[in-house]
Formats: sequence, C-alpha cells, structure tokens
Amino acid sequence: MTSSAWSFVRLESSQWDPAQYLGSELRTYPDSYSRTTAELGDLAFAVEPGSSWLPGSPVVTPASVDPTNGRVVRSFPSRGVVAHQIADESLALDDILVPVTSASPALLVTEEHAELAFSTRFFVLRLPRLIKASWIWAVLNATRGVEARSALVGSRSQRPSGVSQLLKIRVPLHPSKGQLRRLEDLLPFPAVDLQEDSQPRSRWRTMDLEDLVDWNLALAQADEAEPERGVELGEIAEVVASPGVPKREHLEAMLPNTVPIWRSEDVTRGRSPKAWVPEGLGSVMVHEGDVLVNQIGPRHRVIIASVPGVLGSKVVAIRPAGDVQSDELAAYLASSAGQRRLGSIATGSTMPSLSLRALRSFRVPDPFPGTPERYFPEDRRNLSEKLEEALWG
Amino acid sequence: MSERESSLEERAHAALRQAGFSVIERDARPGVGSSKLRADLVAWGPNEQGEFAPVVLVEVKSARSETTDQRVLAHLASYANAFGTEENYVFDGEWWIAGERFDRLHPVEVPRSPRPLEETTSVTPDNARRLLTSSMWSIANQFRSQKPPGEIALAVLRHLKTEDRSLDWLFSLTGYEGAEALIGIIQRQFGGRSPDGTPPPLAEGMARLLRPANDERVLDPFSGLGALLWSCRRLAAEHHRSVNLVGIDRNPTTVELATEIASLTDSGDLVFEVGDAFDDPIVANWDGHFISHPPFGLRLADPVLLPDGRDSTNGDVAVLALVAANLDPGRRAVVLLPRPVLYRKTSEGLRTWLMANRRVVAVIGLPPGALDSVSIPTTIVVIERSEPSDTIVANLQDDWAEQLSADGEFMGEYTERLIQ
Repeated sequence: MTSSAWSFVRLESSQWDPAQYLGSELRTYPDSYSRTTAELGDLAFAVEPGSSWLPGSPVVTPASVDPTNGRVVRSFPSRGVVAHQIADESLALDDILVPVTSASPALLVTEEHAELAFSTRFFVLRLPRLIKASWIWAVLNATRGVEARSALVGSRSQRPSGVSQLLKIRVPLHPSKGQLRRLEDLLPFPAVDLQEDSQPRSRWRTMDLEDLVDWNLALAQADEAEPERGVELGEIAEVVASPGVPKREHLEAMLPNTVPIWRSEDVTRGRSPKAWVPEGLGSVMVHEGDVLVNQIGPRHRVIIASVPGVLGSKVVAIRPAGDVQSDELAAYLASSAGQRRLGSIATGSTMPSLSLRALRSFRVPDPFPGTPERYFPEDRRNLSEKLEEALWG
Repeated sequence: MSERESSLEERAHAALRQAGFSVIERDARPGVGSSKLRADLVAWGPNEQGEFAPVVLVEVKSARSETTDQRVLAHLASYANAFGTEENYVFDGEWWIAGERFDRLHPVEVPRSPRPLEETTSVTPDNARRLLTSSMWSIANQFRSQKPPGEIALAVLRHLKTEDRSLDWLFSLTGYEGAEALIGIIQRQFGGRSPDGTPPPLAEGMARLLRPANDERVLDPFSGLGALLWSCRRLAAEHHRSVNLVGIDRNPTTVELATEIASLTDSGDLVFEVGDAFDDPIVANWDGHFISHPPFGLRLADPVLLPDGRDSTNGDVAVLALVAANLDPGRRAVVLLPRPVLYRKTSEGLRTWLMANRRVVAVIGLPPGALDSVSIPTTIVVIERSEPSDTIVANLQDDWAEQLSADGEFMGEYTERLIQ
C-alpha cells in the first residue's frame, strides 16, 4: 500500500500544471536521501533522434521491453522515419532511454543494444561520466520513479510528457554501497533477448474452408504450421469471461472479507491485482494458475494468475485441464506467434476484441514449443517492484 | 511581394515564355508538401539527362547591392540544390546568372532557351505528380470561391483539356503515371469522391490477382475515379494484352472526373457510366470479370436478396453477394472488403453458399494501414465461377505490397495455384 505525501511548491505562472508537480514531488525518498536530491535536468540532457529510418524496418519500442526484467524481447516495424541508434551517435553507451508515454521500463544502453534502432517513443537522456547511469536508471525504474513518470503522462490534458517535464523529476544522489550491490543483481543480463520470430511475417497456405464458417479463423491458421498438429483451445482448457464487478464496488485496499479482482489493467501491466471487492460479488472466480488474457485492445497481454480472485470485465480466464501446464500455454499465447495469431482472430474494426467462440476454436500447438521461463520467470514481480525493494527496502 | 517586384516577376515570366519555356511555375516548392523553400519562378524543360524537370530558376529582386548579392547567391545555391536546376538567375530589370560556384552574378542579355522535347524525353513519376499538382492548384485558384471541391477538380481537368494545353505532352509521355497522379491528386487534395481511394500498390496487386486475359472484359461496379481499372490497363499493357474496362459509379461528378482523366490521358478503352451497381442491367448482364473496392460500411436503404436466400442491408455483404451471383462461368471477381465480412453472423449464409457454389480462390488478409484512409484490417476475396476447390489463405503483414508485387513470393504461389 502506498502512503500519502505532499509538498510545498511555488506556482509561478497562471499556466501552472498541477500534475507536473504531482509527478515531480509526490513520492518522497527516505529522509537520508531526500536531502540530497537534484532535478534530472541538472544531471542529464536530452538527445535528439538521429538519421532517417526506413518505415517498416524493425525498431524497439517501449512495448518491446519485458516489464519483469527490462530486457528487449521483441521489435516492431517502424512507423516513423527517425530513430535513435548508436551507429549515428544519437545514442551512446550508458544513455538512458525513457518511454515517452508509458510506465514501461527505461533502458540503460549497453553494447548489446548496438545493433538496434530505438523508436522516438523513447526520450534519450545522456549523463556526464561522473554520474553513475545505472543508478539513475534504477531510480527511474523503481516503483516511485515509475509513479513520477506516470504522473507526467496524465498532465496537460493527457498529452505525452515533454522531455522538459521529465527533466524536472527529482532524483536522489549518492547511492550506498549496499544499494549498488543489490542493483548489480537486477541489471538485465542479457539486455537483449530478441525472439527469432518477433517480426511479423506474411504467411499463407492452401486449405479447405468447407468446415470453417469463420474465415477469420482460417487467417489465423494460415499463420503457422504447428496448429495443424495442434488442438483447439476449447478441448484442453475451460475458457471463460465475466461481466466483472461494477467499479463503484472496487476498493483500493485489502479489507477483511474482500477478495482481489483481476482487472484488465492488471493484465496489461503484468502485475498483481491492485483492487479488491467484497466477497460474494463477481460471477466468475479466478484460480491461481489460470491464464488471463486481455480481451479487448490492439494487443492481448497474457499473465498467469498468482492469487485467486474475482474475474474482472474484459479479461478472459483460461483454465488448463488435465496435463496442460499453465506456464507452457501462457508462454505460447504470449509469444510473437501466439500474439500474432490472437490478433488475427480478433474481431471489431475500431477496438479489436477476442470472442469466446473464436478463442475456444483457436488451435494451439501440441506439444507447446519454446521455454516458458522466457515469458514467465519464477519471480513474476515487475522490475519496478524488485528495484523498489532493492533501493528503498 | 511589393508592387514593383510583382511587375518585375511578370516581366521575367514573359521573358521565359519568349525564350521558349511553356511550363513555368510561380512561387514554386521543391517537393509536394515541402513549404520551407519557395522560388519565384521555375521553368521546366528537358535536362541534360533527357528528363523533363526544373531547369531554370529565377529570383526576382527589386534592388541589388553587394551585401544583398551574397544573401541572394546563398539562397540560389540552396534552391538550385533542392530543385536540381541547371541555370539560376536573378532578375532586377536586368538578367544576372549565378556562377557555377554561386560566388558571383554575371550579367546576361536574356535567359537561355529550353532544349527541344525529343521522343526519348521522359519524366519521373515524382516530377509528373509535382508538376500536375502545382498546375492544378494554380488553375483551381480561378474557381475556388465558386464551386464545391469535386466540381473544382472537374473544372480544372476541363481547363487542362480545352484551354491550357501546356501539359498535353506530359499526359502523352506518362500515360498510366499521369492518370495515377491525377487520381491521387484529386483524391487527396480536391475531395474527388471520398478518402477511400485505393493506393497504387494495392490497386496493382488486385489487378494481378484478377489476371484478365487478352480481349477479356473487366467491370468495377464501384469505380470511383477508376484506380483499379487503370491498374488492370497497366498490367494488360505490360503483357501486351488488350482488355475492355468499364466502371460504374453512382456519383455523376465522379464519373465525369474519371471520364475526363481517361480523355486527358487518351485512353479510349476505359468507359465510365453513372449507375447504381445494385440496380444496373450492366452488372446483371456482365459476362466478364469483376474488380472492386466499394465504399466500406454502406447501409442500403432497401435490403438485397442474397444468393443463400436471406435479405441484407449490409453493403459489404451485399457487394460480395452481387459480384459472386453475377459471375459467368470461368470468370473471376477480386473484391476488397473490411475484415468483418469474414466472420460476422450476417454473412455466414453467404460464405456457406460460396463454398458450395463457387471456387473461393483466395482469402487474403491485409494489415491495418494498407489503405491510407482507414486503419482497419481489410481483406481481398478472390472468387471464380468454377468447381469449388481448396482456398489459398494468406495473412499478409507489413510487407503486403511486396508480396502482391509481380515478384512477390505470395503472388508466385497464387499464380501457380490459379493456373492449376
């Protein structure tokens, strides 16, 4: 549970933006650190993106970064024409790539990133040599750093945060030896673990549509060879959804006789539930180990339920039966191939949505390929939670 | 621009005309959409490489001095670099030409004359588009306050055809590219019909999927400005075939525009008619192929009877049913539709009917972004009136244009399959 905090700030202009101050001042650091903080802008400067970049070429975006460990795990076709790259010096070792609008992990640039191009959905911060870049990276990625960044995104009528706002975030200086030691263990290594198949590729095959009234499913099946040897999801798992519980019943803290509710934002952020509802509400229960999939949106994030609770709206719970392992199923659905195929069966033009009927008919490989550890490590906490503990206890 | 400069510009323009330049841009920009650089006058003609391109640039100055000369030379250097002009002048009542290094101005009597147009003179698609855009905007200014956008485009095309013949040579040089450029310009800048134009790579891909043979006929029942038919024509020309192309559209202005484009580019084998595809005997009696990118999401006032016996007011479903039902034996239809046609309950009966009564040659999913105007995923459905058989199902991604090109891996397999 987070505690309230406040601070005195001088509002110097009639155009003041409260969220800006919330972002930069809300979460205080422990006393011993709060006396030695500095604005990020006093330590770092922002670097402009570099040379032109071909639209369609792969770039790393904030969505490429695994929130549990800060690794770059996939790339996406670029929609823009500029990017940050080491090759053209718009990026350098020890620069920090900070997502513009999301609370995804910031990246500390290492030699492993040398071959990659990074989208302009990141700001690039460059620090003088005297400042330990890994410390600033950790501060920005620990829970209170993420909260400060998230508060910026909400400011000024939901516009993306400008780099000038980002540079106003106060960061503590002078880490202790203990903090640096614990931090070393959490630095992503390897920093890049790109899935071979992360670039969507056009695929096709010849098939008999006679038994397949839903031709959208045929498009999904065109995508892969495995499902031919696979099974329908409905045959190996129970696939359920729920209307959820009205928002007015949601509580922000766990009280006696309440149960957690798995909401779509929890699935999106890959985190434990952050809301509770009174026992007895909710028509569908989530069991520990259920695979939860975001039902609506351009991407269908997948997590494994770490605690039992109530199923919220816009989330599908997949409960494997028999010998099917949750982590193997979840790993397949979270993989590039799984995500691409889920995208293919989504319906709805404006906001893609997965229907239960389509999900039950969705063919998954048997046996599952790949390694579940890659997507669902034993410690399923987000990097931000791990860093928060390592830095501030 | 001061009154004196305006008058000087008129004199410079007249001098360029007298020198033999027929295409002269005023306030010219080096590229469509680029707004930073603007040159007072740019004259076009064949360049050293034999391409019709900007060759002479003129900056008009009401007064000159040593200091201003340095600034003018710097401007001329950057303009020359952006436009690719060969000779760059300043006109202040007298003619001055910039030295090769843009270090000084040399007096000359008059600007030089253009090289003659040869049979081998060519024009790049970019330059054709730029020149047409600039000319059309300049003509459109005469009509801007009087007419709605579609009518302005029509007036501009007619002006080009009957009064300002300076671009006739361009259309004869470019043919397909000229028509494609006109269609693009009208769609984007003159509100020709709707923002749902078919981008050239998609139009060409659909024409390749149709593959009309020599002397065959192709009908687009929702032709708009005719982009798909133009693609069929280009493909036929590449294979030394002749095809008979007919387009139907409900909007008389759109049909007039399409007809004027065909007329300007001297394409008598494209015919456009006003008609409602759902109630037009041409469609019902058509004995050739169909190709179409209809407007998406239409709601029909009166329900149409689908071949599976149900009624529907859903325009997307109705279009698929219309072309499938009116196919003659051995003929094909290539239709671009929004993705829901593949899975909606309302089209389930039609899909079942198609599987039993037609050969569904291909179902090709395109990613969001394949159409400039909408960000929804779309689908190309290819149907043939022949024995039902297996379907080639493709889920194309961001490389869809490459896959649908003549050398595309998918197109290779599709063609092989189609011929079988």
